[in-house]
Amino acid sequence: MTSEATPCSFRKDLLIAVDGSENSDRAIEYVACMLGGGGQVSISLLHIISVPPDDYFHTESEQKAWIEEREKAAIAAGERHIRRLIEAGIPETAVHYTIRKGTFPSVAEVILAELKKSGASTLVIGRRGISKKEEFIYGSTSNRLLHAAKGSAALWVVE
Amino acid sequence: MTTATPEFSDDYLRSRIAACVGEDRVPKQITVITDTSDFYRIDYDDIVLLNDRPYFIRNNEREGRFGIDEQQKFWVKRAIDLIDGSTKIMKLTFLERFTARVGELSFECYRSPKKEARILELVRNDDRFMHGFSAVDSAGNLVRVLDFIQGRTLADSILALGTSHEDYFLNHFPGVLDEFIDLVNAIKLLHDHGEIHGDIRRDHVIRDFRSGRCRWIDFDFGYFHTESRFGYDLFSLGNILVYLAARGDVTVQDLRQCAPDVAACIRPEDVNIIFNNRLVNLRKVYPYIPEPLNAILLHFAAGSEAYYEHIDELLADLCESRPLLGQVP
Repeated sequence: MTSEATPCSFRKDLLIAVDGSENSDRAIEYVACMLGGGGQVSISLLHIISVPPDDYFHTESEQKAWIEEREKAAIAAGERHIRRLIEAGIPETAVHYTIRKGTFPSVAEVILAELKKSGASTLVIGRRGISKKEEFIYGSTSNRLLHAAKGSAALWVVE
Repeated sequence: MTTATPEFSDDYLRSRIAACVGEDRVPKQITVITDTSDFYRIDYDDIVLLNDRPYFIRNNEREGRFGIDEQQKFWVKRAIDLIDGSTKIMKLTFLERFTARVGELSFECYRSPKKEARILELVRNDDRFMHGFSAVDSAGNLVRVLDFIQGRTLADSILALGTSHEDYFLNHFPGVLDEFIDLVNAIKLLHDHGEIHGDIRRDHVIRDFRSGRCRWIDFDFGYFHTESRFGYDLFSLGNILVYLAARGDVTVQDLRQCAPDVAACIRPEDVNIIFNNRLVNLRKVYPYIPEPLNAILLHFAAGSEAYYEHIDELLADLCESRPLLGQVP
C-alpha cells in the first residue's frame, strides 16, 4: 500500500557555495548522496532530558515526578516527530527513537557521544537563536556542536 | 522546643553562657532547641543543640549588598559555641528555588544545604575557603555550622588602597592580582570536582583579619544550565577582576559626569556584556593597564567574540599577564 506524502513546508532549494576545491567536491558528493535517488534512509531521533543536579530537588519523590513529567512529554513529542516523518514518506522501520535522561555537564557532549556511537553521517539540530549574552552565560549547544562535530559528520542547523 | 537536656543541665548551660558572654547576659529562661525546622521561632538567647554541642543563638545575619542592607536572613544565625566560646554562623535548612534575574537574563536558581555541606567537606583543609561542618538536627534538617571569619570583604579592602588609581594599579594591584589568581585557583578546585560556587560575588570574598588571606564564603547557591555548567561562575569571576583592576566600578554615568571626553569615546562594545552601565574596556580610562590584561577583561565585554568556557583558560591568561605588572612592593 502506498500513500501520498504530505507536502513539506521547506522547499528543496539548496545554495551550495563552491570553489573548485576538494572541499567543494566533498560537499557536492554529500548532497548527491543525500538528495539523489537510491540508498536507504535511517533516522535516529535522540531526545535528551537534562535533569538538574540532585541539589536542585528537595526530595527524591519530587525529582522522580520531575523526570516522569518530562518523560511523558518526550514520548508525546517522539510520537509527533515519527508521525510527521512517516507522513513525509519515510518508512516507519527506518525511524528509531531514543530518550536519554541524566544530569549531564553538557548536552552537546551527549549528542556527540551518540553521534559517534551511531556512526551517522549527518547531525540535524534545531536552533532557537539565542543572544550573545545568553550564549555567554548559558552556553550554546548548537555552537558547541558546530565546533566539535567537525570531521565526524555534516551538521544541519535549522532555525 | 524543650527545656535543658539531661546532658546539659540548666545550671551547666548558665555557667557556660556566663563564661562566654558574661554573667549579665545569662537569660532567665533556658530554652534548648533540637528541631530547627521553624527557624523563625529560633530567637536571641535560645540554645540550639547539634551533635550534642550547645550553641547560644545571637542575632540573625543580614544581607549585605544591593541596597537591602537591613534585610534579615532568618535562617542564618550568629551563635556562640558554648563549649569553646568561639563565634559561629549557623545556617539552618532553607530550601528555595526561584528564577533570578541578572540584567536581561533569567536563571533557574536553588539553595541547597546538601551542596554547601559537600563543599565544606571538600575544602575542610583549604584556607582559601570558609570552614565549618554540617550536622543533622533531630528533625533531619541539615544545619551548617561555620567558623566566623573576622575581616572585611575583598571589595571593601581595596577601595582605600593608593593615592590615585595609577598609584593603586602600579603599587598595590600586583598583590591584589596575586590574591585574585589564588582565588581563581580555589574555584578551579571546585570545578575540578564537578562543583560550582554558584554565587560568586565580590562581597563573598572575605579577607581574614588573622591570616590576611582572602577566603570564599557561601556555597549553598546553585544554578542550572544545560550547556555551560561553569559559565556563570566564570562571568562572575570576570566581574570581580574588572572591579579589582578599576578599584571599584567605573560606570558610564560617572564618566559622563567626571570625564565627558573619555565618555564620548566609550562604545557599546566596551561595557559589561550583562551590566551595560559598567565599563570593562578599562584602558580607555586607564591607559597604563597592559594590553594583555585588558584583553582578559574584554572577554567579559559586550563586544567580545570569545568567552572563557573553562577556568583553566582564564587562569592561563591571568598567569601570562601577571609578569607584566611587576613585583609586589
